Amino acid sequence: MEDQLIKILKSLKSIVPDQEFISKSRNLILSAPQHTRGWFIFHGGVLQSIKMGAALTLASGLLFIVLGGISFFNVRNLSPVMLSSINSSNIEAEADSVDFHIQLGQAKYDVDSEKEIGAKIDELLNNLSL
Amino acid sequence: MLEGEIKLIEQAKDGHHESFGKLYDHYITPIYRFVMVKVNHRDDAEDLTHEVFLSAWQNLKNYKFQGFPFSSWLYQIARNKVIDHYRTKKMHSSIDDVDENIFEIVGALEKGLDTSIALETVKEAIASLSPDQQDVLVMKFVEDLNNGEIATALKKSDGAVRLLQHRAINNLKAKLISSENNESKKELTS
Repeated sequence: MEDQLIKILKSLKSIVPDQEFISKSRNLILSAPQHTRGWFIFHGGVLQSIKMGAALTLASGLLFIVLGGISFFNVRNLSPVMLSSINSSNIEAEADSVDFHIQLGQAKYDVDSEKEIGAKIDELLNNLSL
Repeated sequence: MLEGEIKLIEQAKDGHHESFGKLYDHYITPIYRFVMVKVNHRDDAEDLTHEVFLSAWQNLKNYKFQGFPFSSWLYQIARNKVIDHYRTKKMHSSIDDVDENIFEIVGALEKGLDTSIALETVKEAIASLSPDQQDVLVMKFVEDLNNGEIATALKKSDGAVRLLQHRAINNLKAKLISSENNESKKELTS
């Protein structure tokens, strides 16, 4: 089978270009100017430098736009972690919503017990100084 | 390798049109054939072949003789042109796209061969190979280049070229055997 395959591949040698195409293409190519040494220097050196410079400028511009955009829109407002803890209006709203259940009776007890404790401490101190 | 090729190249580098014309006349057919097998369309093959030689003429001052024929450099340019062609057109080699002319010519020649392999099947098998494997088969068996020349054109080592050739032949065989089996099954069921 390998021999048959190679025979078929070799039969591809019968593919030849059209003579009219050959003469037209040949004339066009030979009438075209060759690139000069200056062209190679420009294309290989200067043009490559210009391309690199343009790429760097574009990249810097893009970076500037991205960073500028973030600061313009205030990144803290965009952060889900910071959103509820930093925003002052949210803090006020949270404080308003806290339900205080301290009753007046409880407050009076606290004040009275504070006086009683103070008196007891004074008494203890007097006893100790004796 | 063309006789006096190095001298012709040096003269062409200095802008001698006729010297480059001789190189063109010698290499136009193998390069056209190489491109034609890869793109399967006559018009595309002609356009790309023209671009290969135009590029070679314009950039000849960059060419440095490294012990291999000028054709290795031309094949390198041709490969790049074919790659660019497929990249820009965003199309892939398909059996349906094949220009019938190419295989009509081969078919006429095949009649004289003692072979039971259907040309259509071989056509499909070749198209299914990787671009590198196609290149090696064409350069080796159609253009009769040696492994060193093929290695230079493909920018690969001799060993890699031998491996590619071995795999290409094996893949072709496997494809042909599987298609033969499929044909036999079809005949049995009908």
